[in-house]
Amino acid sequence: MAQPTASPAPPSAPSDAALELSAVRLDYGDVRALDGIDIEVRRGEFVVVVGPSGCGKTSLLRIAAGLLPPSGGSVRVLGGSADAAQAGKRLGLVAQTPALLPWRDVRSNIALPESVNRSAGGPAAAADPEALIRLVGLEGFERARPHKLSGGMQQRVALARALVVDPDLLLMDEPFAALDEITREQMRYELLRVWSQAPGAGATAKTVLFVTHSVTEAVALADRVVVLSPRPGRIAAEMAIDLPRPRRPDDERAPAFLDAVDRVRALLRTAPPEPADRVSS
Amino acid sequence: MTGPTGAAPLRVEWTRWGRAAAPYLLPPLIALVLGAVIWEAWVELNDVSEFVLPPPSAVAQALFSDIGFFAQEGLRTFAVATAGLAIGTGAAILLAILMAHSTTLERALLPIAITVKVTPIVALAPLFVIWFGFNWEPKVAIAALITYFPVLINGIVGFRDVDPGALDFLRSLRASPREIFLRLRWPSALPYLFAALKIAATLSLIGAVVAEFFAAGQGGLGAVIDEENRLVRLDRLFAAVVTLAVIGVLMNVALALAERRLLSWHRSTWATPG
Ligand SMILES: Nc1ncnc2c1ncn2[C@@H]1O[C@H](COP(=O)(O)OP(=O)(O)O)[C@@H](O)[C@H]1O
Ligand SMILES: [Mg+2]
Repeated sequence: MAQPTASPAPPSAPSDAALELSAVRLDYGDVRALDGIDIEVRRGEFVVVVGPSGCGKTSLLRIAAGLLPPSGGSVRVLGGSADAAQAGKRLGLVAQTPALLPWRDVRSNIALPESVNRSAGGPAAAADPEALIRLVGLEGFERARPHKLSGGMQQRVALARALVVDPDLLLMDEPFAALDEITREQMRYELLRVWSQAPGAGATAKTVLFVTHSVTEAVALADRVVVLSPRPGRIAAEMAIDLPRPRRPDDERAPAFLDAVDRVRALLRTAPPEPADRVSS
Repeated sequence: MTGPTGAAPLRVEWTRWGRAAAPYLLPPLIALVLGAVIWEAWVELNDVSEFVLPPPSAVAQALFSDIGFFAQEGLRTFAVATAGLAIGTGAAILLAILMAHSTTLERALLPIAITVKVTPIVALAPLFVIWFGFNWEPKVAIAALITYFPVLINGIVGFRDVDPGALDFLRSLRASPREIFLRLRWPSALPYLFAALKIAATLSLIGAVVAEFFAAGQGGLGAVIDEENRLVRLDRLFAAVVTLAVIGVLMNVALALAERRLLSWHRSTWATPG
């Protein structure tokens, strides 16, 4: 299962990009939400897109997941179309709300991906649900319904549910934004731990595209931060985060960390507010 | 359980059932007794004629002296009502599934559904007798017709009101529409459907009784009420109404118990008002 060496790339995709968005544009009616989005996420890379509320982060992630067709530009996911990535159950989606099925208990929620689209991921591709439950720290809660769990625990279930298909690309939309500050901080490092230990991660960890409005969160998690401007969302800047891994909560007080946070903040401030967000030519 | 005793588990079952049903049965019973006492006192104090309003004691007397008859007629009405409820609900759920998936279908069919709904059932009842004959068919048809609307309206909302995050998640795995329906839309709609069913259950009894007015000679509580009204035997008329009320309450209790079992995950079943 877990291969210590890099997994063989599909013959049709010689590039090592897990996600390539080129010149992606999105219009809601006559409101432009995203414009000129070029993002390339390499395999194993943890990329965080940071931007203010309403700049199009959720839209961007849904485009990457093949849930929303872009109005323009091209999207390549795992060397193919987003549809193909969906069909092969190669995506793991975690949203701002846990979006669990309230009538199912924890174990059964985590098993949900296995019960749909059976023509795709056979048991060989899937991760062991019990191991995942342990990995996200939910032992003892297997039979609990979601409403008995705290918000943080619900997001752990959502994370395990996304990981159970052993996805090649993990897409996360502000998964910790609804949590309290203390839990949110804790979940950051939980995620990093899970990210590096998740089944199939092996030598090269999973690829993650994570969107957030929290600069601290972005710096704590990312290999690379992509800064979006306010509406319509455009790429204002990119910045590599060279902080060593594994990262720990205490590292957030380190000068290098604080410096990175300041620089991303500065990039966000200078991201020019677009005067005309109407679609006009 | 492999014990040789048969009675003990049965008694356990009964007490368990009783404990589950008590919160549903006791409050209405107490309210009923209180109402009867006030009614009795009022009739007594004002010396109201039994041809205007019989006292509850007379109604009880009429009911229990002929309990076999009222039970039998009540069962007939109940059979018509449940058959109508089943057909009306089934049709409404199918329609709601179609309309929830297509706004065009909803726009096309909803006006028709509303037209049928606002047509007074008393206007349709004689027609139904002409169309469906004098047996149970027109009665069941009327009961079905009167029940479909709340189920349809709640069903459309219920099948659509799904967690968008859960929908996105299923779609990101390329779940088929059928899988999305079974895993997400159907369970999400259940609280809405149960709320509608409780309304529809009561309506189905009204439909059955109205139908029995028109399909005279076929029995049922509607025919009894009609007959006793003509004979000005108000005690027996009220006895029939009480029988009807008991059936209605029992139907709602059954639904509430089923709801509690099936929807233990839904906040509507945990909330304690106050
Ligand atoms: N379904 C929609 N219809 C119209 N406008 C939308 C829709 N979804 C989002 N928008 C608009 O597009 C912009 C980007 O939204 P979103 O992607 O949710 O941003 P973010 O996740 O960064 O807050 C916002 O201005 C929002 O109002
Ligand atoms: Mg968002």
